Amino acid sequence: MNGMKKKIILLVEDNPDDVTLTLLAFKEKKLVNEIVVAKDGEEALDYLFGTGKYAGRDLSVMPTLILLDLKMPKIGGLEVLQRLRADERTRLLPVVILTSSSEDRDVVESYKLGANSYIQKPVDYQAFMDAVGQLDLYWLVLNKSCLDKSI
Amino acid sequence: MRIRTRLNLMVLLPFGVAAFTAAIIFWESNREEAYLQKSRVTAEIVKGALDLNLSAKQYLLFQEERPIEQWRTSSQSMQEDLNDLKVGSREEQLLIAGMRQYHGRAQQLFSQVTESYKSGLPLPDVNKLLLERLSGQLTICLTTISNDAIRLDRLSYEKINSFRERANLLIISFLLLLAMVISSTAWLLSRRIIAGIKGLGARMEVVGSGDLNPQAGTVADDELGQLSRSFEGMTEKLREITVSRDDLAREITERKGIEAEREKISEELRHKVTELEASNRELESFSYSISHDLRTPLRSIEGFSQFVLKIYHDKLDDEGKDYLLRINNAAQRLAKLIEDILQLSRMTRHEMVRTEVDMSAMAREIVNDLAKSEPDRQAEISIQEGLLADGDPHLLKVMLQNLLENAWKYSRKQTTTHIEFGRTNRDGRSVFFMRDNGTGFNMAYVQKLFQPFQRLHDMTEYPGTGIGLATVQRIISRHGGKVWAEGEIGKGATFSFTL
Repeated sequence: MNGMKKKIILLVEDNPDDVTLTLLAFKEKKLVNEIVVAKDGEEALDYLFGTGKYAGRDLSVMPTLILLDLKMPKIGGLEVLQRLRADERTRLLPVVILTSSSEDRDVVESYKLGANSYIQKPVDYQAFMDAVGQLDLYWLVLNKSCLDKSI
Repeated sequence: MRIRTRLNLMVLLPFGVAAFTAAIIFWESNREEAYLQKSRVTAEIVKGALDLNLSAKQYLLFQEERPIEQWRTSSQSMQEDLNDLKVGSREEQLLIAGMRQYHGRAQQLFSQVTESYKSGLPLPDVNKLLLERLSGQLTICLTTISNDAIRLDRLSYEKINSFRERANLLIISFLLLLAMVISSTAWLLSRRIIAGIKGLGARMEVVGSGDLNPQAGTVADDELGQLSRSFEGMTEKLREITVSRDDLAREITERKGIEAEREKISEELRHKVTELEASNRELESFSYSISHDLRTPLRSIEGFSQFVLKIYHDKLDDEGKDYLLRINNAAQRLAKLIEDILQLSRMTRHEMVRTEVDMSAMAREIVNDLAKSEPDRQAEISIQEGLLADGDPHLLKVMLQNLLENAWKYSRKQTTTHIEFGRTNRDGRSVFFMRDNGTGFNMAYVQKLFQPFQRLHDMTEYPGTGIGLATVQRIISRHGGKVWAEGEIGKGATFSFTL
């Protein structure tokens, strides 16, 4: 194994509290991935397509996992999902919807637009941390993503 | 008098009169015939008298046998003729009696003459005078007979004449009478008919123009009267029909009015339904935002309080830890509450489908999950097999979940949890029941059991939001069933429901 590239997680979340809590959770679980935070849909798309704030970013470097919240200002989660599934460069990236909503409507729409997974953020923090741990274990270790190319 | 009667009269009367006239004429001709007969006889008598006279003269002249014979014959004839005469009036009788008498006398005289001659040939002169006198008397006799006969004939003739005149008078007067009767009957009849027709015609015009007020028909006894009464009867019927038609028309208008009312009400209902659907949709989006918007800050509270507990664990004293723990617990309770409220509203919003649901299988699934969550629990669960129900599978699952979770929760303190789920027959209806051997409840508070947020137990002993049973009741009422509970403190509770 050549120098294992650090796997990047793109966290798209507008609520700063939730961001903090998520990062804390990752830290507690001793997860070593690099986490890029986008505070709304626009920023997320900027990152993914190298525009705006992230203009000039090396687009060969894509996140191994995208944690996507749904309810966000400016551009919402579903639209981000739609757009990144529409673009060749980002179509195959694993997306896990991480949201507080458990409405069937949201679940169905998310899957329809091509989400890989849907997780409702538990209010109980312990449970949240466990979920984060499981996420990491599955998507970044167990799951073979399209980016895992042996070069 | 009926018209037909009058007509019959007009037809029969002439016949009657004709018959009567014919009878009179017949009778008259009979009488004439009789008279002619009598006349012939009297003529014979006259001729007979002449013959007798001739015979007597001949004898007197010639004294031969032949005139005597002739006399005998003629006398015989005369006798017969006199007998043939039919007597009528007293006068006639007298005449005939007279003639008979004279005939007898003549007979006598002739006999005297013949006797005289037969006795002696030469006749004395004195006898000659006697003979002449005899002969003269004979002549007178015979002439008288002749005259009498003629008079008889005349009498008969006069009688027959007057009779004929009387008969003719009778006939003429009858005919006149007939003419009068017929013409007057005809005239009256035509007047009656015309009046009747005109009257009826006038009534028809009145009725035809729309005035259906009936009048009593004429009281006349005849066919026109009947016609008039029938007509009035018909008018009455027409009036009734018109009245009932008017009633019908009115009823139709009323019905139309009611229909319009109904349409209006339906329209209003449709509006209401649309409004309700709109407000339901609003409610839906409301619940959706609640669920998301309430949870987010909740997560922060919960998360950070937990984190502080964890990270600054050693920097906190017991009290600090305690308070933070309480914050945490409160946040979790709030989260559960939100979840339950959401579920309750979802139960009401959910569009029901009705299919056959295997409640036994559903219950077993739920129980398995419960057992897995607490593997150390001693539990004896008995679920009756083949409990099928007709209802919405999703709603029924939620309901069973609530009931089973309750049963599980409240029998936590028992050494062995006994939960029984089955069905019985009560008053012909099948009733499902869920029994547990948990802590039970006070029947005095049974009313509060199914109300949202009402709890009968200590929060610390048996945590919960108090929504579970309210949800159960809402689901069951949506299925058109009923739910009730029986319990005893320390002995457990039984929840029964119908669908």
